[in-house]
Amino acid sequence: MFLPLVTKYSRVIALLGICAVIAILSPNFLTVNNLTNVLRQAAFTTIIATGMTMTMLIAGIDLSVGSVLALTTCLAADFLRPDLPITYMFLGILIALGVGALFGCLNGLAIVYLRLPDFLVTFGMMQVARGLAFLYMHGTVVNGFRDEFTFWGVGRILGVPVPILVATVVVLLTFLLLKYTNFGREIYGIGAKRSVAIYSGLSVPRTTILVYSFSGFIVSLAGLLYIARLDAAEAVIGEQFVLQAIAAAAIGGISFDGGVGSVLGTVVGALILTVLANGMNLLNISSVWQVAVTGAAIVIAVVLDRWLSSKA
Amino acid sequence: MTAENNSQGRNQTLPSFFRRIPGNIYAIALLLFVFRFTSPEFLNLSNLLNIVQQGSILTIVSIGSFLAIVSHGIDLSLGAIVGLAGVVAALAMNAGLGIGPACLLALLAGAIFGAVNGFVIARTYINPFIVTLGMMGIGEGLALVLAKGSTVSAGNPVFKLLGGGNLGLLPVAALISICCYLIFRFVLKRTALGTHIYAIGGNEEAAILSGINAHRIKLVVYSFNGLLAGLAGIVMASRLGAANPSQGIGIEFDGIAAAVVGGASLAGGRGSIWGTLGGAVIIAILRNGLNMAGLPMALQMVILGLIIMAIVTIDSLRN
Amino acid sequence: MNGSEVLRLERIVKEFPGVKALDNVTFDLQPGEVHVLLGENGAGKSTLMKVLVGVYHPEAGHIFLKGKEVRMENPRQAQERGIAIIYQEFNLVPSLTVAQNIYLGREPRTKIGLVDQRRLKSEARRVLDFFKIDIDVNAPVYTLGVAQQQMVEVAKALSLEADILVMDEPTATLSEHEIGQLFATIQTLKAHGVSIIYISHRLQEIKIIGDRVTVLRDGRTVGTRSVAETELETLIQMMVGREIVKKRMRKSCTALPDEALRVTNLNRGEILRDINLTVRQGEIVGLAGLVGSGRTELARAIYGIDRIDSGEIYVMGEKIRHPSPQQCIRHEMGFLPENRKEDGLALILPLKDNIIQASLRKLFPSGILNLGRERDIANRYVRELAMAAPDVTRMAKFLSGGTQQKVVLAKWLCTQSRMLIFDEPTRGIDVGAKEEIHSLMNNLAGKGVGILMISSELPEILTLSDRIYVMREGAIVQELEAPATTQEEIIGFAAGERATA
Repeated sequence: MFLPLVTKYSRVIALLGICAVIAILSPNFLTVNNLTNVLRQAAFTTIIATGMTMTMLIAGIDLSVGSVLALTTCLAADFLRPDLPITYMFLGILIALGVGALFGCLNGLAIVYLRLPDFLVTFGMMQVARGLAFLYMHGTVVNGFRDEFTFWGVGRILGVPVPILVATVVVLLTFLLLKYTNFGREIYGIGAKRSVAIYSGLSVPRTTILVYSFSGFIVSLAGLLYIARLDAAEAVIGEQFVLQAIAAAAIGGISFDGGVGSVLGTVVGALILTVLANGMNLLNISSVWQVAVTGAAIVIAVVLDRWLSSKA
Repeated sequence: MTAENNSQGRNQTLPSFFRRIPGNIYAIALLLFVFRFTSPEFLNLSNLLNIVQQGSILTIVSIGSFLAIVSHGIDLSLGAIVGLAGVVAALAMNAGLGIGPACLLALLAGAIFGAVNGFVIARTYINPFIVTLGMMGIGEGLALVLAKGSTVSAGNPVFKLLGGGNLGLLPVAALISICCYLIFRFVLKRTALGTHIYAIGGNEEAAILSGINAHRIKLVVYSFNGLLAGLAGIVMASRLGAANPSQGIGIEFDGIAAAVVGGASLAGGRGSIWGTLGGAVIIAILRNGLNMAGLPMALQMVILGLIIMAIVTIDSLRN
Repeated sequence: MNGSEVLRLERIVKEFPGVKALDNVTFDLQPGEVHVLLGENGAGKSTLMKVLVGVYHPEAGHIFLKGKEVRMENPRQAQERGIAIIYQEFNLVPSLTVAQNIYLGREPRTKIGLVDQRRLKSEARRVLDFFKIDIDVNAPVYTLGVAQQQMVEVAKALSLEADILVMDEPTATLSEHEIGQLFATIQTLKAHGVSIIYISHRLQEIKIIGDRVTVLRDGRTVGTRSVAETELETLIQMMVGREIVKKRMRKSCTALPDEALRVTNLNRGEILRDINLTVRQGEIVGLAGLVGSGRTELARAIYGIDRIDSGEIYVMGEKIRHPSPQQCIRHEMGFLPENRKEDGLALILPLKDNIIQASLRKLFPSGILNLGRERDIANRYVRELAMAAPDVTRMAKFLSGGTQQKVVLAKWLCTQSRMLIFDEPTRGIDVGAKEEIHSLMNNLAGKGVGILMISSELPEILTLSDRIYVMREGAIVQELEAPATTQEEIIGFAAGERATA
């Protein structure tokens, strides 16, 4: 009866429900300051999860996101120092984005032309990228970037933290891309039923490579924002993002088998994860619970989704 | 890709045996040969024993990876269970339980965890990747919570024999591992369950039409996984003398690589348990050899990642 | 009622919404006989068999097994009662051995519950030897050829101690030599008292292997004859019936002189041999042939799904250099595949998404969609094709078979292709929708679209085609003018009865 309505907005309802519970349990939750923190924290996850959403939509996965983030930011790090001319900063950013897209492209090429399973390829890439990052950094940390750069991580525009704005733009653009462009339809088409897409003349290799390249690119973007916030770059960062991005997408309703789900759902999923983590912090629940809660959220979300859709 | 798992007839076993196992043995021989030059102590007995001991944990876990893959599934939660079981065992011993009961408890914990995996996967038909991914988080989290975020000591000297001791020349851990392989080879070859696991993975529809209970099989497979990962966790905690809740992180991927390198197909229904052992040994040798060659950890990671991808590529091109 | 009958199906009635699939069908089976079940597509053969094994429950009628009336609740029960079906798609596990496959789920056990390997192999060996099947019980099934795998299926059915074996188009994928072996096995089965229901199109084989033949047409039993005493011509007549094909939908040929499609010297191994065909704009060309004659393979080769060894393909006069679906669509050719659920439309996508999927570039060259226009287009096709779909955002999997096929058709109409290949356009669709689709195809041709239509339903071929190519064993054996030919003639060429030009 009103079950279809519940199904459609179930995630938003869940998010609001969780917020309500936390707000009741902790008076500090609903402060502007805290909510801003939540949104800013969610921004990083959201951007990466957006890329993950696209790979999952074509029934793929990208496990290399954390490592590529580390590698590309480390490569860019030296260019961001304040004592260098500002053109170097732009160069560094370009390098990061370019290398990110390159690694994504390599993922896509291996999956398409070597016919290897996606998680095996991206897992291997995860090792390779992380290793290269370590090699490049020799265990050092680069910190102290230009103000023009760190602004993107710590600054605000019109009172809103910049990462949130960037995330909003990224989500918006991805949303528009997926919903209103041919490319978006090709993604859904290939993910929904590959054989049908082939008969319809869609190019599976081209789309696959583009999607993985996009994922690499977007991950580097998130990485740049991240180190801008940290004001430091080292080779170890970013490991937690893989699980979080997959969790955000899964909770957000992106089907692992492809072809189903909206990037807006991913946003809600990322928010749910961040709110849960924030809530646990406020309630002084040890951070050791966080991983468990993330895992539980994934399982609950997919099982519930399956159950609800079988009722529809 | 062969299915030497099932043939008794000499004619059948011999050619397939040649095709798969020696492929791995050649690789192992090659690696041993190469690493001999990169570091003088590589072929020392002590180092080889080291490899065996370190690799034992991976080999045990790899059985679980193999079982899941053969049933056309996958298990990403193995590493988390390794950590969880180690913590459970250590805590139990510290609480006064004897070694035996403590280990039993840890194994039980692993098996139950795996059973939950199996139950959800069998009932809901949700992709095992995402289910075990979520359970991985839950398992890791549970381990962290129980261990209060730090390492739990497990210093009992008798306990430490399991992972660190030797029976004569052979490390106990290796013996445990070999036992597991023998047991599970027996199960896969001699019991109906084994046949049915291959059937579910090879052609689930046909299996169901033949009256096989797919739900039960999947439940059993993932429960076994939990059990094996639990055992590996106990051995690991024993070796280190302490249980670190995150000690197993990442091992599930090595396990998958071991199974795939060993000839299992990710599409299910095919593969040899001895091949998996070979694959696990290859990975263990690679890790040790790269280490001994004095390469920076980072370069090791890169090379390992590339080599595994290369092996899998060659394998898939051969088919 | 004959006392020694093994099986009797009496006055079986089976109805589905809108169609009477079986209308008082009667069929009996004697011990040790090969009883052929003959009929066109849609005649009711598979429905009857599904009733026999309990997949369907009949609205009326009786089933007698060895004289005793029974109710067939489900396939397992049928199996327990000694009835086994061998489908065209094998239910084997490739990596397990022959022995393991035969006894899958019923493995013989030792006292302690382990699989008794020795008994497994010896029992399997015994079954195979008994029926003179020469296969190594230890061989993994994936190492066997198709014919041998079929033998494994036969052995599996026999190990269930079936005394009634149903074989559905068993020779569709076999070579001459393998067919000979299969027939030898069948003789052995007969000698051991197994009764066989043999479903087939292939008239010559029926002459060789059949004892009696029952012809079904439109869900009714036309008659049962002794094979030895009946001419093939008679059987063909029984299959197609005396009734005149209802007036040809295609009143006049609207073909233009220009070609929509030309295929020259197309070869693909043994599967397609030196194919030459043309389809003119505004012409409907039927492609007839028996199951396994290579029609779908030809279509897939033309469309670029399968790689060819040699040959040229010209669409609208232009040569397609590297055939691929993308290229074909660009040259204004489209393809409605046989299996709509697998290849025709994406079930989890909405109706409207499916309709525009092949026309994205054409409709929105800038790459940016206009959702309003998408909706309008979808609604337009819903109207034009009279689809029973209230909402274009509805997921395709919730639509009926007929509507789904219309969605597939809409998809290709949307591409504004001027050459379309239809592979079994009305399979699995009720009569009303069938007529609609025929009418649509006729109109399309009237507008100058070239159509190549693959169909196993001869009435469909005759009612719609201007010309007909008949295929047999991978080659085109005859070209006919549709108004001047008959179903008998077509089947004659398709089965090799007639000398070809």
